[in-house]
Amino acid sequence: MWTFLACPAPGGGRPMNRFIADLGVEGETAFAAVVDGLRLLERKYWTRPQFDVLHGKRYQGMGEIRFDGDAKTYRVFGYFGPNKLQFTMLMGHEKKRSLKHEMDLAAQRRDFAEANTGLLYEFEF
Amino acid sequence: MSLNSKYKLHAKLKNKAYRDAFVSARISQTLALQARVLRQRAGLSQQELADKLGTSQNAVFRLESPRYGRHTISTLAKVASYFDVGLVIRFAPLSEVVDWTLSLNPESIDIPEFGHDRGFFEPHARIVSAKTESGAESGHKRPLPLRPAGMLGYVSNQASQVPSKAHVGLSEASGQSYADQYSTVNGSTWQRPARAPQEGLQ
Repeated sequence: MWTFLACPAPGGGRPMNRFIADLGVEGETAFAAVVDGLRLLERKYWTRPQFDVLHGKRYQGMGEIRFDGDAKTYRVFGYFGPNKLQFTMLMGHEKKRSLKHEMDLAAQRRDFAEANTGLLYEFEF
Repeated sequence: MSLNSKYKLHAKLKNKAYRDAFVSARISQTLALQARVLRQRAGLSQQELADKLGTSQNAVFRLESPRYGRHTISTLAKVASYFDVGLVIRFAPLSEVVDWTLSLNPESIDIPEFGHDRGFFEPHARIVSAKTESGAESGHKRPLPLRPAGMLGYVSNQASQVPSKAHVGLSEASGQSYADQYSTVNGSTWQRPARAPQEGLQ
């Protein structure tokens, strides 16, 4: 089964924990249910509508967990790794028209995470 | 299952809004994921499944969308029938739902069809490795996962190895033949549950 990790921000703090804490009950329970489902599936079944890969060279190996709750749509960016059957969550956002800025920030966080794997921690709800 | 998780979840479930959202999310997300994996495992597109069910591609899309959440029981029964799996719809204590949630395994999502449902043959069966103690392959085929696609962590017990036929004498000496202890179903080798000597259906 997959393990979900999270990465602290370079300046400290845990953006994923903060993201979850800010969700309403619908968002939080939906996210937990999606993650619980994905953790059981082979990589090839990580597809829409629960997941999608990010396209572009800058985002290689990255993807987004997709879910709805509290009348909003959310995306959680992350990447596959650092080890097999691990997915590291970097940051979550409410879906807007374009999340290009957030995707770029997530890519930077991915670089940080890959250089600081010792800081990653297992994510629990 | 983590007891800690259960306590944490119990604390959150004291909030009625959380309880309602929790149940709703589990229904919608699990159904959507199961429906998609069943279809993909069968190698069908949404349109192809729609044709087989006599419905529209959009209806299959909705079935696989956690957003929709307004499926009728008859629709779900139709899908269950097509994939030859069961469908459980009933009211249950929240604690049971939580236990189910915390004990999810690949088979909770990727449901075997009737013909591959090993629960009928071996209720307590565990798939076992076909390697001998020396690590060499025995004369038996490596147990093929009955449903190889889509699931991780397929139950295996490396410690419980199927003996090669050369070792059968030891098994027989213990009063159980090789066939008593292992069975092969669809190319997979299963360890039989121990039989109680006095047990039997007369």
